[in-house]
Formats: sequence, C-alpha cells, structure tokens
Amino acid sequence: MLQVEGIRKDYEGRPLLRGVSFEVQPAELVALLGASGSGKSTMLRIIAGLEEPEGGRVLWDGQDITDLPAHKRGFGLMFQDYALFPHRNVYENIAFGLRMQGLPQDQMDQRVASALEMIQMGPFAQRAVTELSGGEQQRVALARALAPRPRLLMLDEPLGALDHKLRVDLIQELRRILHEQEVPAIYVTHDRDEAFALADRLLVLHDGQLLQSGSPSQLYQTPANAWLAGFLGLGNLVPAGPIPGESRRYRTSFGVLEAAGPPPENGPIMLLLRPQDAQINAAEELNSFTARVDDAIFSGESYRLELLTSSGERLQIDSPNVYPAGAELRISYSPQALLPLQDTENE
Amino acid sequence: MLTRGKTKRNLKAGLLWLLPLAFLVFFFYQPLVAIFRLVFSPQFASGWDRFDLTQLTRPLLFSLYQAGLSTLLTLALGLPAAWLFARIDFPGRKFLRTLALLPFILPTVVVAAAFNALIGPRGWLNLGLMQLLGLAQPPIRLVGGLGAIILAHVFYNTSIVIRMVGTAWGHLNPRLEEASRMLGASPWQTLRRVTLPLLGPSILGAALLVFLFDFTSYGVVRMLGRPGLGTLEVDIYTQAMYYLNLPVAGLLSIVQLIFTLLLTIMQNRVTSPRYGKAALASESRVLHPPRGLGQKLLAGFLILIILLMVVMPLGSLVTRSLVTLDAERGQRGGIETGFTLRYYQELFVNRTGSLFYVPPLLAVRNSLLYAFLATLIAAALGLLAAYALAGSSGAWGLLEPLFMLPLGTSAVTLGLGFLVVFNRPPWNNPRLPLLIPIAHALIGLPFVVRSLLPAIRSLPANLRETARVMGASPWRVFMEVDLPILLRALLVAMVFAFTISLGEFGAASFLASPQNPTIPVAIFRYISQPGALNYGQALAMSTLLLLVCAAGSFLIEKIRLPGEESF
Repeated sequence: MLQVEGIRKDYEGRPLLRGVSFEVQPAELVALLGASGSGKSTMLRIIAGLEEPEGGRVLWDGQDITDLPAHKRGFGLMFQDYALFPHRNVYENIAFGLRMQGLPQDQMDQRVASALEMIQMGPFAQRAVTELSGGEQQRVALARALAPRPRLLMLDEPLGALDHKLRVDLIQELRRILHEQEVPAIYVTHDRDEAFALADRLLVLHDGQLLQSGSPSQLYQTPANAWLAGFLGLGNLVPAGPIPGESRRYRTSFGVLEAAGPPPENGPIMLLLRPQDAQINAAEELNSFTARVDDAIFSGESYRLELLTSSGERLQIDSPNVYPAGAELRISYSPQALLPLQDTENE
Repeated sequence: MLTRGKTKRNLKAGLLWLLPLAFLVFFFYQPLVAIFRLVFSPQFASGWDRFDLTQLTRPLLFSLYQAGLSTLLTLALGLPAAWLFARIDFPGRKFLRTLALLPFILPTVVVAAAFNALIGPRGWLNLGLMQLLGLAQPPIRLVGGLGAIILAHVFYNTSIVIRMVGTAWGHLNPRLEEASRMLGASPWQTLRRVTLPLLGPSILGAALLVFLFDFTSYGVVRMLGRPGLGTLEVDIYTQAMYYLNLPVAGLLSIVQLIFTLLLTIMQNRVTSPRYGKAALASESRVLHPPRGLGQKLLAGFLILIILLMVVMPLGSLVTRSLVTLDAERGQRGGIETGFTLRYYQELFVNRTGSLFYVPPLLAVRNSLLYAFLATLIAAALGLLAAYALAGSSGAWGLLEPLFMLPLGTSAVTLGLGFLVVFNRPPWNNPRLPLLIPIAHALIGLPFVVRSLLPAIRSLPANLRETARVMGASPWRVFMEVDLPILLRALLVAMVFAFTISLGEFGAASFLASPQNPTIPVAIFRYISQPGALNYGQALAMSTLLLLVCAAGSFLIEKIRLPGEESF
C-alpha cells in the first residue's frame, strides 16, 4: 500500500521534515499527530502530490509516484475548511470527481445518492453548499472525497473548525464510515482525543521526524519521551536525576522516588506523575512526599487538586474528596505508576 | 421621544446633503439638462439641416469596435498577469506590481506622448529602423491608426485587470483548486471548472470597466488617431468646436451618456460579491514559487512582457525628451544623437513672436493652481457627501444614485455642458477661470466618496459614543475621533483628486482658453505642431507630468492600508 521513504522538505530556508518514513496498511486508519508547525499538513500535501519533497520517495504498491501529478494519484483529500465549491450545489460538489472520471449520468446519480445516504443527507442534493451548517459541510466534504472511491483518503484536521459537541458526534460517524468503506486513511490532527478516538495507529511527528508509532494505548502507556507525555497531557512532569548505584531511584526537588520502569538511556530525565494514580494519605510511607493544597477545582467525577510541594514544585492530582487550601497532604505513588522519561527538550 | 430624536437626526443628515447636492445640481445636472435642451432647441435647429445619420453611427460603431478589441486584448494580457501577481512568488514581485499598476494613474496625454516617443514617426523605433535600413520614411505607421490606439488602451487598462481580478484571485481560497486536483481534475480542467467560474464576477466587472474606459477614450484617440477615426467622445469635441454643430454634439453626448450609464449599472451589479466568505482564503499563504517547468516559463514570459510593456513606452518618453536628433531639422543622413536638457530649459524661456505661443511655465502654474483648488473642493464636498451617504436612511437614501451618476459621465460631456451653460447670460463666458477646477472637482468627487465611504461606515460607533460620554461636543468628536481615523482615506482621495486634475484633458480642452492652457492642453498643442523643439517640449512636459503622477501613485500606495484597493 502506501510507503513513504525519507521525506525531506524545507520551509522558508529551515528544515521542516527531516527524513520521515512510514507505511499505511490496507484499510488502516492512521492518525498523524503533531503540534502546529510540525509539518504534518505538509507531509499530507506531499503524499497528495500538491507539494514536492526535497528528498525521499512516495510509493504506492511498490511503485514510485513521487513525480505523479496530484490528479492522477487517485487519492482523496479533505481540507480543514472543507473547500466545497461555492458555485456548485451539494449534488454537483459530490459528483465533481465522478465527472472527472467520465462516469455516465445514471451511474453518477446512483453513486451520489449512495454517498448522500452514507452521510444521512439524502434530501440535501439540490441545496447550495453556502447554506449548510459547519457539520453538514463537513459531511458533504467527506462524501465528495469518498465518492470517486479513492485508493487512500487523507483528512487534514477535518474537525478543527467545529465546536466540541459536534466533534465528538462526527468523529464516531467518521470512524464508522471509514471502516465501512474499507478505505485506508491518514488523519492529520493536533488533538489527542480526536486521534485516540479515531485511529487504529498513531504516528507522532516532532522536530521534523517520526517520534513514535503505535496504538493509542501504547502511546498512552509508554510515551517515547517527556515531550510527548506533555503533548498528550498525560500528567505532571518533574525533573529527576538518577542516583548513582541505584538504578531505579531518582532524586526530585521534593524527595527520592522509585520508578519500576526501565531507565532511559541517557540525558536528563523527567518523571511522569499521572494525576489519577496519586494516593492521598495512604498508610504507605515508601515513595511518598508531602505537599500543601493550593486550590481545588471541581471537575464532575472528582476534584482536581493543585498542590505545592515543599520545594515549590506545582503538581496536579485527582481526589475523590475536597481539601481546604493550606491543608497538608501525604501523597504516594506506587513505583509501577511512575514513568521515567527522557527529556529531549533540555538536552 | 424616540421619534423626535430620529426626526432631528434626519434633519441634520439633510443639512449634510444640502451643500454637495446644490453643487451637483448647479454644476452637473444643469449642464446635463442644457445638453438635452440643446438637441431640441429651435435656436440651433440649423444644425440638423446638415445632419446625416452616419455622423452618429460612425463614431458609435468605431467606439464599440475599438473598445471591444481593446478589451479582449487587455484581458488576454491582464488575466495571466493577474494570476502571476496573485499566486506566484518571485524576486522583485512588489516592484513589478507597482510598475504594472502605474499606468492607471497616468494622464492620457502622457500615455499618448509616450507611445508617440516609442512608435510615432519621430519615435525611437522608427528612427532606429530608418537608420538601420536606410529608409527615408518611417516604416512603422501605427500612430494615426487603430493599432496605436489599441496598444495604448492595453497599456492603460491591463492595470485595472491586474488590480480587480488579481485581488480577487489572491483572496480565492487555494484549497478549492487543490480540492479539484485531488478529485482528479487536471490543471486545465481546474482552471476552467473551478477558478474561472469563481473569478467570473470580478473578470466580468473588470472587463466592463475596461470597456467603459476604452469606449469613452478621448485623449489617446485624439493624439494617436487621425481625423475621421473618432470615438463618440472625440466627435463630441469635433462637432462642437470645429463644426460648431452643437445639436449634433449634444445628441452624441446623450447617446454616450446612455451607454456609459448602462455600463456603469452593469458594472455595479456584477462586482457585488456572490459567494461571500465561502470562496475566500482562510490563510494568507497563497503565494508560492513557480512549480514545474511550465509555470516557470510562463512566469518568466509574463514578467518580460510586463516589463517591456511598461518600461518601453515610458522609457522612450523620458529618453526621447533628453536627446536631440539632427535628422529632425531636415538634414538627411547621419543621425547624430546627443544628450540635451534644452527641451527642459526651453520650458522656462519666454519666447514671443508667435501668435499662438504660450509660455510653458504658465501652463504649469495654471495646472497646479487648478489641481489645488479642485482637490480642496472635491475633498470638502466629498467628505460631506460621504457622511450623508453613510448616515442616510429612509428618504435621504434615495438620493444616493444622484451622487454616483457623475462617475459614469465623461469629462467631454461635462466640458460641453459647461460651454453651453456658461456661454449664456449672466455669465457669457465659458472660459471663467474657476470652471476648470470645478469640472475637475466633479470628476474627482466620486473617487473621493468611494474612498471615504467604506472608511466612514467602518468607524465603530462606540468610539464616538465614548467621546461623547466623556463630554466632547459633536465638532470635537469629529476632530478628535473621526478625522484622525479617516485621515489616511482622505489623503489617498486627495492625492488621487490632485493627480486626476493635473492630467485631465477632456474637460480642459473645452474650457481652457488659448492664452491660459493647462499642462495636458499645452502638451497636445506642442505635439500637434511641427518642429523638433515643439516635439521635445511636449515630451519634456509629459516627462515632468509622469514624474509627478508616479510620485502621487507611490504616495497613495504608501498611505493606503493593505486591502483598501477600492479603485
């Protein structure tokens, strides 16, 4: 299927992509995750053929398509702003790609009708696209991209312009439709929740390179480094130093903590303390430290406590109970819950 | 209470209307009515004895024909150029764009003189070819025919296409074209099915405006054409001033007015935005370096053509005004070229002897004075009118078209109207010195209103309210809030009005007395006369006018905020 090999691209004289390689399997849903400016959209545009890489190759079924013009690749692309043709109605927008394929009128009608059915917008065929709501436009854009039956569908932050509630609904619909169609898809986003909810596999792009590839749970359990843990919002990251001779113990500004996980190879280290794994005032004396409550925020199921350690480090933990500001708590983490991570940003 | 406050406000708005309205009624609608009455007046009925329908049809058909041809050629060059400036990033892009937009502000006489210096019988190309091939007669005879007229029109109006279509193209969301590519459309199909349909309104609007300008072309046709090859505009002048046949001139004016009105209305209709924000770029990064060999070749070719198109005529004008050629004195054979400032020095020499002789410096003085007055009048009235239009509601709103009508009216028609009105008692003198600045102010007024109106409409009301709550009187509010914010738009409008007045030829050719010409009138007179000195002086004055107008254009670009390109 799709193979991307060593793609390099500069933007305004600075390297944006520095040799990115990955593969997409048949019917696989891949999310390309990265911060804004990480080059993930550019990566997509290179695969689409809308931009030329400065190095590397794009292959389809082993065939080099790096120099093939965009309109001959048979890929579909859905843009963040949908890019629906404002001078054409819903039907004509969806039929555009079919007309380019020279499909006869009766087949075209059939395909557009089934595409409209797929997005549950059957009665909308003759509506002007400028009259549609954001969610409706998004669905028409999806139908338009899928109608010509592309070999690969790419989605460039397709939900970015919508409000939160709509996004949650649409993401499920999108996953259903993409699995039904059995089309391999690359979904570009900077939103962790979107990527987790939608994709079979995540690719994380950072500093112009592929940082990690894996399932949502793999990324959640074992992020490649401290930057990714921060980017995914996994919890508190605390600078930590290894203690010579004691391989699994680390010195932090508020005490020594033991972490079960294997230590990173070299460089500065940060410990990941997930808010939901904290134990409050447990009998356990090992692996614990004291901290004062600074603020408590009610978040529905529990309270999010804002803590200040004796050294002035700020930590957030989840707690079923609320504590007054100033209250002194004993916080403990089991070694299995602590994850030492390489801190590449401060090397 | 509410109704009373509203009535009071409406009354105030009415007062704002009054001054500009009175000015328009007296100096615009009165002359227009006078032209209408002229056609049916028994006093001039003798003019109809010699009337022959071809006197109307010939200039009308010629106007339509040359305007159609010019418009097509202008689009053929302008559309690719609009794409170039809207999409392609190349070194010197900003400079080339400024250069390509420069012709729009240039006076017709300057453009005509520039083409004369390039392809005229005494221009560089002909002199060069005569020297090279040993010819006795200039081989290129475009001047005095349709060719030169159309070339000059293309030179002029390509800037309109670049500005109007280029701006729309630059704002067109590039994702739409990319979406089309991704759906399997080739670049050519994308252009035909997506880009051009979306740009349709702006292309049509630009084409209509170009057609309107070509249709009413006057200075270019008079200076680069020949007798018998006249647009309606030129024949209005010829009938009125050469044959003294005022009824026929009036008839031509009315026919012309109907056409220009129709074109203006159509132009206003088509340019109103149709798709709203749907087709606009969500990000400003639409410029990219040329992709692929085809784009590189096309971009290079266009850059070369634009450079040649602008630089060759203007460069010829400047260089030709600085060089003396012996061949002009009738000495056949070796043409000696030499750098000289003589033509410029002669502008300041007061030679007498010829009955028709007018010191060039007088024309410069007149033009500057007229332009100054015209700018003041246009700015003051335009400010009042724009405020009245911005705050107009109900019955007052109906008056809006009255202010916009002068936009579609030609300068020659205005000149003719003034001639008729002020030839009567109590004035008895169509050459009253103040008439030229008034005519120029009328021509500049719509531009001032167009520049100010969007600025006034976008003034946030809460700024004024804040100032008023803090105790500022209405006058203080205007001085301390409105004026500082509007200053840019007002300055742009004033520079525009000033350059329009400096270069205006149509009305001035009616109203300027032989003893008191303006610069364009003097240039026309010099270039029509034989002799190297006259020719050189015409080019020297044109060069000076070119520099002033280029400075004005530069100033406008500097003052104007990005995205405020209303004309």
